Amino acid sequence: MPTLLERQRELRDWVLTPNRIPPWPNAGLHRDNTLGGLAATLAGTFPVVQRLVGEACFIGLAQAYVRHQPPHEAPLLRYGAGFPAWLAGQDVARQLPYLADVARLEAAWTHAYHAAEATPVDTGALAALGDAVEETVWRLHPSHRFVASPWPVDRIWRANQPGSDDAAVDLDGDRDTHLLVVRPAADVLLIRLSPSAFALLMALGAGLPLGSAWDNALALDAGFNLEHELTGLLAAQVFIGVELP
Amino acid sequence: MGITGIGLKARHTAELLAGRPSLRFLEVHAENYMGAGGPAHRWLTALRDIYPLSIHGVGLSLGGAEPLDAGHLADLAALVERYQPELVSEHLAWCRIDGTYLNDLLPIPYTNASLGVVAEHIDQTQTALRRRILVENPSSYLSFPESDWDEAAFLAELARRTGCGILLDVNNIHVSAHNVGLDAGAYLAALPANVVGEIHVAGHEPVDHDGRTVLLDTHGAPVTAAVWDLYRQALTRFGPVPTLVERDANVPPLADLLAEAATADGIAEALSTREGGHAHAA
Repeated sequence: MPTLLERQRELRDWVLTPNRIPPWPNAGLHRDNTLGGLAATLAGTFPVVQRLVGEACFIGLAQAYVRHQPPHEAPLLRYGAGFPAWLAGQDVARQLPYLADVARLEAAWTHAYHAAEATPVDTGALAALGDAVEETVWRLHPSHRFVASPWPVDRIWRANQPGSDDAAVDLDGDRDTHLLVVRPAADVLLIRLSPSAFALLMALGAGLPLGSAWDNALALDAGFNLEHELTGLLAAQVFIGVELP
Repeated sequence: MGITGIGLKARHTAELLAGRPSLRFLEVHAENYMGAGGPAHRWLTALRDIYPLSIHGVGLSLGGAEPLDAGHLADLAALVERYQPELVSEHLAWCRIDGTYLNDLLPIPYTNASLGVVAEHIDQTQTALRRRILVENPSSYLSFPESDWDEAAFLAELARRTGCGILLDVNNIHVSAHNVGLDAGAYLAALPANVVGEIHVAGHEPVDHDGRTVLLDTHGAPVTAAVWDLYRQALTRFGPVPTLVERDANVPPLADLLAEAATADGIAEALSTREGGHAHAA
């Protein structure tokens, strides 16, 4: 008789590898439950991708991904973090070139949703810094993710939310999207940034002092208004700390 | 206050916080609260001030042939420490092999070797959590030929060896009775009267599979009359233990779940009255 370990490996192999003989009666119920449950988890994280490709196509993609990359931790809150990169290599992503970037935005949204809480710094932080402002290091909220795309992925995302009016998105008129995804309080925010503000935040997120980050922004836009941008980002509660190193 | 609770669903949170309907407890799946933060924790933190909690794990793989996932066990211990639930439960099942999780409650053969493995995993869990846990009977779709024990005797022996309690899912007994031919009445009789710490009732659905009808434990439909009948038998044997109306698919409006919870409370109250005792104060 097989050991417990052998029983468990034979079921795992049957669930994750197509075209095998079931190891025991009714094993198909468990395979369907596992693949169906994980596909539903991915549909919960990537509802816009599902809407763009259709449910039947999505289930096929999701089950292929599950077999390629099954979960390696019990909570499924983070499952599918690798789905956007995998999706980019599938045929459907060549037909819908914005699809993988929409998936990256949805993965960023889910990360922000479950990320740690942190208290934002107040809007007076800027005024309190004085002359040393260029030396300061700005810590971003731990929920933040950056998403850049040649496609208007935020407009695609919004047009495909439940209750939205299905407005057409002009794919050519609104290229080069730079987004900050962040959850300072209860709700996940999608903040559209200029390329220069995006460069500023990317540099701050990497730990560079404000002066260097500002240089990155000025390299893209000589007229970049630092105070104006920081005031807006502080009001959006994007930062949790401003420190002199 | 009755004896019945419901599973917490995000869509019911606002209504529960506003209306505070009378419920014995709220049950949540442990793994859904293993994110660092976010709305789920905000809601549960608010609700735990109103209701006792039951934390029900689905991912520990007590029946896994490989050692428990130490990181997952530590996360479960941290969650229990944070929310201080009244009840903590897991399953007589496995879901993890060679580090891969299959997202299902998979069956084990009830051999002497399995008994040793599961008992050790329950011991480790109770040590890490510093409390007794309840272990739930699975819904079965086959019997392994190598089993040395029947399921109820296996569970009773686990309880004897480890001191764990049993979460008795009467819908699972009903489903297994149909699918693999076990005797539901004999199952209840084989469990010691004092080990059942919680009961689950749920709905199931018949499906055609390989030319015969299989009852699937979907948690996606109202509790059937046959399961309520088995619930009545279970309360008669085990007393008025906390009961969960479990619904994870086709989740109805809160009012419908509260009505099912009231049905369970009504059964408990009728039994209590018939036995000459006093119904629990409302």
